[in-house]
Amino acid sequence: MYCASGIRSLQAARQLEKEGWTKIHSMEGGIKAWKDQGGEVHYPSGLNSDQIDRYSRHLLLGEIGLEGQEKLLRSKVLILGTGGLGAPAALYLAAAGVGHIGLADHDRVERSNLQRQIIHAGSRVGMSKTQSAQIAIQDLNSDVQVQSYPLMFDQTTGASPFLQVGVKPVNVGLMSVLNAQNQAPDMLNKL
Amino acid sequence: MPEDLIYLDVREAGEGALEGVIPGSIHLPLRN
Repeated sequence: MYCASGIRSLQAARQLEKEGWTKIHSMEGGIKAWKDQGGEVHYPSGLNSDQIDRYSRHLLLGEIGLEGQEKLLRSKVLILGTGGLGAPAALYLAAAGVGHIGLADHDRVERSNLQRQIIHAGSRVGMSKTQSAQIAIQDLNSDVQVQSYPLMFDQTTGASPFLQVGVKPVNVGLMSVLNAQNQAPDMLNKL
Repeated sequence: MPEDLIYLDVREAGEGALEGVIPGSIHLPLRN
């Protein structure tokens, strides 16, 4: 029986012995000592070494772990609006390793946006917001595939602009455009 | 590695991904 350093496995071994199990041994020093002594190990993950490093804090969380991270990398999120809410949301999702992010915004970056729309930058003033956000995301995390939808949508168009361009099915839609809260559920349900 | 030993890995799965696992070991995460 082994763990990282031999403490948890020792506790488990003692507990099992109390319950009547025999021939239970805890590996002193855990997997670290095993490797130090030249023991063979393998890495049972679909993640590459860079991803294991990048998402290491997630991997250590019981609520996420390896399975959760792999699920995040397969997940698809569509963000409607890359402004004050969509910008930080997109960055956090990209940093967390959500593998597919759709960005929808018809607008261009203005200098007055930069005080709150933190995905954009002074060097990208005048650029379409979706392109600007795509640059920032791909610089942050190249694991993320970004699909841009430089579309105009409002209460009259609803989901139709996205349906016309064949937006791919998503797991989650984030609506961050102003004055659109009431139509969000209906619009997102159609995607 | 002796063949008559069964290795139980009691860490969380993420720890095994980070630190590696002993080939052939059985993953049985220890939970409180």
